[in-house]
Amino acid sequence: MNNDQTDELQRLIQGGETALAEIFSESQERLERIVSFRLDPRIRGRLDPADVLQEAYLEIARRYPEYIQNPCVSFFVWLRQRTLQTMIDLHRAHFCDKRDPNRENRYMGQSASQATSLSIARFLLDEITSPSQAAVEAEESQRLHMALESMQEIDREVLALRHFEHLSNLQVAEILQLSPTAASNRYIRAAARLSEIVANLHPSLARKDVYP
Amino acid sequence: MTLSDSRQGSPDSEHRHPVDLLAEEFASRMKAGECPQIEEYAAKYPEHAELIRSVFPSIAMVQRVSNRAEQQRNSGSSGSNALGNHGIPESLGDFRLVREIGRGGMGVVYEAIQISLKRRVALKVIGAIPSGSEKQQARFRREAEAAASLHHTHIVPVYGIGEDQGIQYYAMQLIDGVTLSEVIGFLQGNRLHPTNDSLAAQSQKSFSTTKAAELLLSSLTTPEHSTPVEVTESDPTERMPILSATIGEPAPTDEQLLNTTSSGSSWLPEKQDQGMQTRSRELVPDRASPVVSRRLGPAYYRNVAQIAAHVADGLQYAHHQGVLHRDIKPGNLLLDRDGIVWITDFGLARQTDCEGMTQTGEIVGTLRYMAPEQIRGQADQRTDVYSLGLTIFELLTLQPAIAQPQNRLDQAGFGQAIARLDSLNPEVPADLQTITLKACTAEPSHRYQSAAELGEDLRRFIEDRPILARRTTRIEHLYRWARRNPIVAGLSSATLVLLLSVASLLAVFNQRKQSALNAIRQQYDRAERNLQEKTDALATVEKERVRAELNLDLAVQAFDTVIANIASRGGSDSIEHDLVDSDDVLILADATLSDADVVLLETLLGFFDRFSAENEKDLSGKTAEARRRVGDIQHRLGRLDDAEQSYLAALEAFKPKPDRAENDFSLTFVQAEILNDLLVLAAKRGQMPRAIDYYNEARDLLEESEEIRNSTAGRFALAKTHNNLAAIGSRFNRESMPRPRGPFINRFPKPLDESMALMQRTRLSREANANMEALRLLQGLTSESPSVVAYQVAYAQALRDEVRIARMMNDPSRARESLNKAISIFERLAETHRDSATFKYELASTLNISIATSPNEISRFMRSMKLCDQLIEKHPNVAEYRALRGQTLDKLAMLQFSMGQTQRAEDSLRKAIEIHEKLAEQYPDVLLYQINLLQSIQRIAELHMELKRPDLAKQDIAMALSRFEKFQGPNRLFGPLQPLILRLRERQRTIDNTVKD
Repeated sequence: MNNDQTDELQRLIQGGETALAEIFSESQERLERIVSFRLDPRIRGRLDPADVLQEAYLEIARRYPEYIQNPCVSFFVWLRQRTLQTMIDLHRAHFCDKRDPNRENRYMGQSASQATSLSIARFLLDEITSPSQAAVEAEESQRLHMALESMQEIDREVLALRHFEHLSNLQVAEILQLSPTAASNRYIRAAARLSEIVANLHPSLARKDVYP
Repeated sequence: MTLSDSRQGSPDSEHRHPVDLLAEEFASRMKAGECPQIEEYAAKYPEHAELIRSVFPSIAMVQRVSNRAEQQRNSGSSGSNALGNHGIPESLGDFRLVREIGRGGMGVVYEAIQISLKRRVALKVIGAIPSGSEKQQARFRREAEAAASLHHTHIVPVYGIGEDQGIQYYAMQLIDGVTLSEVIGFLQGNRLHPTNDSLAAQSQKSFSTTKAAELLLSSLTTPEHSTPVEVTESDPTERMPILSATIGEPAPTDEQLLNTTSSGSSWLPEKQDQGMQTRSRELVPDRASPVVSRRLGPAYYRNVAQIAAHVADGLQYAHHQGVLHRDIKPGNLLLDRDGIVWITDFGLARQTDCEGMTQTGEIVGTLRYMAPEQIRGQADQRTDVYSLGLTIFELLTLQPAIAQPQNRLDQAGFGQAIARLDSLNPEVPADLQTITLKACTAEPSHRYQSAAELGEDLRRFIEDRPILARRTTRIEHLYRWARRNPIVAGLSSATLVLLLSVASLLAVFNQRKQSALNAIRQQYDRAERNLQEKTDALATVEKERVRAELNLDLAVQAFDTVIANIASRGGSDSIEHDLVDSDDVLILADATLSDADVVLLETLLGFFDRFSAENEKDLSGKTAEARRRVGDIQHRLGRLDDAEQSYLAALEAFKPKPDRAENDFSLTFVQAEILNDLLVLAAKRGQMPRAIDYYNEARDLLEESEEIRNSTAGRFALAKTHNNLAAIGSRFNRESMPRPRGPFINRFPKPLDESMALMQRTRLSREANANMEALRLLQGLTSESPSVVAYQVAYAQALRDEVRIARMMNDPSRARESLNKAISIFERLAETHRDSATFKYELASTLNISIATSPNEISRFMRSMKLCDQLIEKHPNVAEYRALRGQTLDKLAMLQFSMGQTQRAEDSLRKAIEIHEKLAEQYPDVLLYQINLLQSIQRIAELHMELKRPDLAKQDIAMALSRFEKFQGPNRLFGPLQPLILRLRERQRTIDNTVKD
């Protein structure tokens, strides 16, 4: 645990809920990005990432003493875990709607790893499908999703965390319980694989320069 | 930020991959608004260049998206954004939005309540794109106008168009139904989509996918509305009772409405159906698995036909109104609880009288169901027929007809073959198959020409009447398929088999050039392995193209090997024309071919011919090459007419494209070479004027551009052209060669006498001039580049031709001078290439050229013999060397005879005959060896006659004749040998007469 993390713990112990609110608001933007990356698009109409964060904060405020008791991960990683757990609970609550059994089943049948590739696919499709290609989007989504599914699960997670959640290598290593070296190597490998996947789907994009 | 900065900036830098650090720097520069270039990094860190090139594009891509998202966040939520990620506006105009029920290519569809009329509606808005561009808005308005103008039993009615808070929308009837794509997904046995029947039954108002599937499978067919094709301007409410129950009932209260919102999907959410429901299909793309046809059954097929007929009715109506749908697919067809099908989402439709709007050629519509012409940006009513055809296909087989639609854009013709319907589901009634396949034929003119025609045939099927569509035969189908996919067709198994048989023939038959042939075989093996490795990466068509090209390359190599093999036997060109009748020269064009060569060449011919026919469009360069090889082989096989046609076709194919690079003369040279081939061909057939035409044409081509004229390659090509013309008379032309008759001694060449026609003399002088030009160019080239062997050989060849020309011009000193030059060139080559048998062989065959009957020729001939002996000692199995020894002995004999050494002459001839006999026995299929033997026997008979020993002469001739009566060689040799045998018989008779006299 590095100094920052120890500092945060000290702040929490000393500052209590005021410090928690401060730290949370410092992390809010990053957490919101993570939630919007992971949030199931089908419930976006009803649920905003901001809603999720609000809900998550209530939970975090209730449970942060647990963290102080046993700070096994850095505080941000813990915040992320709690926030995503809240999001999953909200998903579940939404899809458990008794009037729509199919939807629940559909959602529950989906593994966490599948959810990650779906999130990545959605995110990338924003980039690789221009409006004129919108008609192709559904096909695109299937193909991209399949391609991502072909990656190793841990590589895919590394990619999601680094690339899409904008976490640092150390955070990734911490979350996935890898050494920093392994996490970095996996990231590079996965990023190369992603380039390849996109290039296969969109040869033109692969040749395209960095800026359109 | 530099690399070291980022190293310092991250506490774990030392543990991270160096490219990771670079990537981070790269991303942060992008984030800061810079435009870092990938190549900049690749150049700066060459040790990581490869990794950088593969990693950075995805970094850049993600950063781009992040930047954009950031911008959106910063700019706050705009009006249209309200529809995107930030929830639904409470209401739009008269409509209160209830929930999102689907997303299409161009918009989001909501369930909504029209407040004033208190009815539930479907509201489509542009929502997928944050701020609809003008173009999108124009399209939106257009689609709404188009859709609102349509009133038909099978088209979802549009209530009206509106705009509120900068959001455009239109309201349409909410259909309580499911999409056909959902039904197909269900019928595929989608386990993730279990339908709880008890739950579905609970809700009176919901219509589940299960119900829809049951409806389709049940023998209770859907009601047939005898809808007139045109129902214009009718009040939509008249049809209400037939439609969704909701619509027919009194308007529900808001509370009622809100309570029923979560029933089974009442709109066919395009996105959603592609999403969750189909997900399990995506993960198990088991296209090969047999279809669940057992669960379908006759009722299902009739129901599908019925539904399709109704869709066709709706389309016909819309087409008549000037509206194309342009996006017919299962996801845009709704089946309601009454089994009525509804066409929805005229989202891409346009008024056909309002062309301007989509002329950008922008591709809209769903690629999988698009007609080929639509992908090219054209569409008419037959385009919708095609898409409906594919939809029927999918309903019948539960598999999309086009498995990999993404490939369609990359293909030249977009004419991707659809899957085999009968193999995906053999139980589909034949007539229905025929109808479906006719509807989705790639070529629009082969389809039903209107939706009405398709509907008519579908009804004929339903009513068990004979259908109008003719069943495409398998062959016709193949033919069309081949037309659409020339490359793939080019790879048909027959071609491959042909080529493989070439490879095995090469290995089995030709023992002499074993190493070269092994090399070819190894190349095949390597190619096969390479192909295997590439297979995964390449799309099918690309793979086939690579394979086709690869095959051609291999075949060309095989061809070159065979030709080199034949040429090394000393082709007909090296035969001394003064030793054989001019009639025979023509025959000798293929005299050196063995049976194996013929089989090989025939096989190669088949391959090249097929290849060029099948790949005409896509591999034009390669095709031209193949055509040329066809010509070469036909030439070799003595099919001179065919060869000329092939050469002409190749010449046409090699015409430089107008867009070629300014200095690209490669095609010019190829063309010149082909013209030279044509020249030689014409000469062989005795068509002098035509030969001269080709000569002039080649010359013009090569002299046309200064750049070619001054280049070494250009001069060399020109020299060869001149030399080919020069060689006509000496190598091929019978007229210019007096036909030697009479006794043995007179068979020596006669000088050109005064009686020779003026025309022939003109020709001879033209040839002499051409050869002089060739010699001048070649002399220049050889002195400029003395190390280029090809120049030396060509120069020596031209000198040998000069010997013949000078002899005919009665200029022995020039003949002698040229011969000495040629000899010295080959001597030098043989000296510098000591291991090369070829130059030794060429030297030997140059040394035995006779100019005049003079004693000093004997020493040359003896040297030639010595060289032959050396060659034979080193390569005892090479027939060519023994044949050359035999030929040299023949010549020596004649020289000895003319010098009065009759006994020596006889000895030499005996030795020659011995050699020729062995070769003729060993290679009964090689014409040259048979001819050599016959001629030697004829010579010894003549010798006996000269020596007044007619009995011995008769004996020799009788021996030769009996030998050829028992001849076991292939039939193809009988024709060419016939004149020689006839001449022997004639000689036999004259000898008899002489004896009697």
